[in-house]
Amino acid sequence: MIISVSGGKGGTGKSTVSTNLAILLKEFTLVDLDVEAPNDHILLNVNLSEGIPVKLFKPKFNHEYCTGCGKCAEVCNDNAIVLNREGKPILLEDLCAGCTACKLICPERGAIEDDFKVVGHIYENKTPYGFKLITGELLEGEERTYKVLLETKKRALKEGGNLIFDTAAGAGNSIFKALEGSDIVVAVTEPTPFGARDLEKILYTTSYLRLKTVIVINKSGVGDEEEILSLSERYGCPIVGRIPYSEEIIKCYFSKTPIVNTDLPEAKVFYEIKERILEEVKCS
Amino acid sequence: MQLTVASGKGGVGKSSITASLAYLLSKSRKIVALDADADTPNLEILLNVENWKEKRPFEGERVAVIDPKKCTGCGICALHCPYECIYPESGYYRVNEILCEGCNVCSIVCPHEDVISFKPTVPGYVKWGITSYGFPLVTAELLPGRPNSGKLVFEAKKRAKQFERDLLLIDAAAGIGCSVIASLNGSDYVLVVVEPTEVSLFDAERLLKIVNHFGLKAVAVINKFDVNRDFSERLESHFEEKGIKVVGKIPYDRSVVEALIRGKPVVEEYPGSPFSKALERVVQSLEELL
Repeated sequence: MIISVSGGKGGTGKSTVSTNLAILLKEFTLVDLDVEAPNDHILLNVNLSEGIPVKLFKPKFNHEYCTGCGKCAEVCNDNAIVLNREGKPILLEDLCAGCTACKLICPERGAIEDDFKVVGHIYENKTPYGFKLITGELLEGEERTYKVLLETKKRALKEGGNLIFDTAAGAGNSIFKALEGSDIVVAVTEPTPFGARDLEKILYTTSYLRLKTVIVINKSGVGDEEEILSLSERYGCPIVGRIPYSEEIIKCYFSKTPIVNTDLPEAKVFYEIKERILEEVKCS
Repeated sequence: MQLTVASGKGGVGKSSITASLAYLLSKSRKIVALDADADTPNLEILLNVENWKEKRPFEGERVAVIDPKKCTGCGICALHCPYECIYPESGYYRVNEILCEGCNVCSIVCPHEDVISFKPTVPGYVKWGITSYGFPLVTAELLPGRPNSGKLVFEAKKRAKQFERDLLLIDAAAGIGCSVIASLNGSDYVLVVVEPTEVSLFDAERLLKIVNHFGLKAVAVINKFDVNRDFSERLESHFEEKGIKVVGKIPYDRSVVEALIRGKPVVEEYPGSPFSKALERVVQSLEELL
């Protein structure tokens, strides 16, 4: 089973929901796909160690074998290849997306060799709560979010078993790729105009992907829920829980104590959310 | 002059702070605001643009199309696609046009002529309008699920610069990816918004690595500093050690959500609130720097 946690807006509580769900569900591996700002390890008191590098292809041009046909530059959709005075290619590394088109088109053997650069890391760690955490992390200054996410997700899928995907803020193509193939998407939002507007983008994406989606309202009580209710109805996505705005939850966040491991009344909400999610997956 | 508001972590108050900054700074300078959070642009909710003067499609992008009648279903394209966005479909293959970034790989590896072609696509828009406060707001708006928010942000910046204002104020996206890098580029100052939590600090540190990498100057503002005073003090000394000036400490204030619900900058709707008073001091510090 794959449960994905998303929501569009940042800071709505995706990581809080993901980590607490992972603790409750026990047999799941939590996968942090927020590769630009991975935070689950902090909330779970895990030190990221022994990262596996995510390598992105880049061409290495051997000018001695190059005839100067210029096909590599022509085929590069990112304009990352310029030709020198002899018509031989030079790479503008920052623009290269690592697609391999230049290598595939090159008619000369040995003129383009495989090289790579490291754009991120994948970490696999045991959490103090028993389950495993897989974290994707984009290297600072690199722009290939999609690549790091893709490789992290593939690694998690290869290991198999039950997975929870915690996704980033936003609604671009890397979020789309993260959600693809989920059994259920949990969209975490907050009752503000920002929350509602960004939620709609996620609901639009999951309806396009035909993914079962449920909504969790976090910071319930701070604002008007009307817009979220109407989105819930319009997209046919039930609201499976309301996490109240509470000082106690904020305190848990600071002290890195999972809410579900406390006796607080707020912990009960997460148990209910877990049950509702499992029910919804069963129904489909 | 370019001032970019960024944070790494989402939901720490970038847009609320940017909207109030724009409102206050526009009183003493000619400004243009840019919403560079292309995935989820929301600044317009607070800055009230009634009519968009222009909404220009972001052109020059393309996607691959496989002709189902000519495709033999060999699947070599899917094997090579770097975005893994080609899927089998009853005897042939189909490109997921939303995810495709238009590289040439599938068409090169396809063993047949004329099976794969390209068609233009519009992944987003650059739009602008005049806010009810008199200055222009330019917004980069990516369609859900689409790629290349970084390129879109660059386009939006070009449009914003055409207004030739004294100050370009940018609200960046969460994260540290291509769209944030596009936002940071060319900044005179980066205003890093941070909350007193370890998570927010971790993400801010990642952002600051990029800021340093580009040789940009950063200043910091601690939002909701009073929810964890101990950690806020640690943040302050941490930033000071790194030579990053803390230009403001903003208390937790319910009026931020109230103003958001009313669709107004906090400093306009609740001028006497603790948030607004703190923001005025931030503006004073910024004015000195700028």
